[in-house]
Amino acid sequence: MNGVVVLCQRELVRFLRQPTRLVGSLAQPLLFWLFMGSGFSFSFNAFSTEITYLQYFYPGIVLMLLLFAAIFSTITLIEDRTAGFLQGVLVAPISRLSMVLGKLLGGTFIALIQACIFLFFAPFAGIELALGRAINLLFLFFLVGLGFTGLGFIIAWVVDSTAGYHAIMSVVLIPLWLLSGALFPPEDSAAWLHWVIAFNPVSYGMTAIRYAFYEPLSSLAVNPDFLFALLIALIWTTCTTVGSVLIVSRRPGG
Amino acid sequence: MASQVIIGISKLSHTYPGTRKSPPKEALKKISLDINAGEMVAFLGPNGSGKSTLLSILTTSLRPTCGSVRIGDFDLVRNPHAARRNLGVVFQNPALDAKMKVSENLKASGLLYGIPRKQLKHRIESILREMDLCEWRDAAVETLSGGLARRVELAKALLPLPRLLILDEPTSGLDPVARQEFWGTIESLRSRNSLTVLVSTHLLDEAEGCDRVAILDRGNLLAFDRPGRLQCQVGSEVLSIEGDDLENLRDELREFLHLEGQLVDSALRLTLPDSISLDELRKRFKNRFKKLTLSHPSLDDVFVHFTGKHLSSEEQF
Repeated sequence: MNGVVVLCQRELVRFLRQPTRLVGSLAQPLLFWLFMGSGFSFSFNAFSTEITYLQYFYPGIVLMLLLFAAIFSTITLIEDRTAGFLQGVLVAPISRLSMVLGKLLGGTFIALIQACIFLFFAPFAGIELALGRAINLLFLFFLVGLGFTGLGFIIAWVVDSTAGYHAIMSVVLIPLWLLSGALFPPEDSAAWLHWVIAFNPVSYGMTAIRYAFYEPLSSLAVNPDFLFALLIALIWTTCTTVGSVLIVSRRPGG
Repeated sequence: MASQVIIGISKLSHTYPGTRKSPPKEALKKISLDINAGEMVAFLGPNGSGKSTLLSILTTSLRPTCGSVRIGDFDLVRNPHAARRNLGVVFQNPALDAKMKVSENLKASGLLYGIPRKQLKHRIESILREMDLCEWRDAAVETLSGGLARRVELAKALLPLPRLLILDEPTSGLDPVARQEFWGTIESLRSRNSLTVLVSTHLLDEAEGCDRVAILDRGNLLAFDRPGRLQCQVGSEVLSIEGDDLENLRDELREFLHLEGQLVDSALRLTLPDSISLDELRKRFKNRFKKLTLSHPSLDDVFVHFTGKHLSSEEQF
């Protein structure tokens, strides 16, 4: 247990000691939200008159924030290996499970801190943040953040350079976000895209977060779409976490 | 009374699996040796000798293909987790978090090794004092000089009071002064604690300062003994001859004087027995020598004796 706490704490300390990382990780999604939200407002409103694109895109940009937080925290695994810190951890008398959980939880808490700060912009997207909704959202951010961090961990453990990680980020991780319903409603897209989105596990995390932003807690508990999305998101996060532990056990040297 | 064996290595072999482009590589070939408690042992060999593989196995970073290693009462292969509690490791590459302070690195390491928080504070203070690092306690590791950073590595390795300290090329990248300081620290630590130290090195003077030296080449353990006794195996004096047509000279030495010479790099090296004097050689092979060097055998001569090549010349490849 000590191992998990120490490694998780290290991730947080390193993150908080790099103010540029904190500013960058918040400024980028904020700018994307404002620019794209305002830019697509007219075209989007042609399809939907209920909400503006700025409002629709807000949960999507929170998902992007969670994804990027996971990417930046797991890419440090490659740096840890190159710089040598990881070899010291691997010969310490802690289990591989503690080592993986320490890294994953550290990355997830960093994502959670950023998402929490970003929640202050929710009123500008027409979302009222009552305490119950905020707690529910934090749970979902944790779940989806852990899923992303687990996936990032697996990729970082397998590839041997940050350049390789960036390549996979461009062709795998970002498309997972693009095709999750974060940018556009799946029901308005082409039929083939509809299928891709249905098979993308990230889209279920997106659906759950979107519902949690817009629907009251009382109706979420009986909303079958939300509950199904939550179930898939739970399975996905379990898979990436277990996958991270397995890959470390199978390839101990990293 | 026989010393207590702390490490027992028996028929240890390791083969790295091949890939589509390269065949499997046998890095260690049935190595067996025992190391006594309190000893300082050097693993000497060039790149590719197997010493890094051996150290990776001893630090539990690598699982051997076959053979066994016991550290104290633990089987390192079957129970690496328990064996790790007895190990302090200083790697060739720094294993510190450069962004964090010296004290933070020590604290994190101490907690990873399961030192209770109440004891840890006291233990960190004491190791900082012992290693003369008190004034650097709050400095970020990235701001330290190479020599100081190595000392912090050593402090980190010693924090959990290991029975066995493993140093993998610990002075690589350090200037001569920092190297000397590092070994001075190790010596004073050994005089105060009964610490067993294993060092992998390709530097002869570092190996000469150890109690015993294991010479490795291409995965084989060629010799394992005290440096002085290894040097005695070569002979009392080593003659190095430089000149033209050394191959013919070697054959003639064998034929007329029954001297077995080795052509190493651009010199003919041989051990001179007491029955033959240098003057006698010079008279018999007049004008055939450009340069004659007579010296006491070094560990490099021991390496040449066993492998037919210099340790330093192999390093270049």
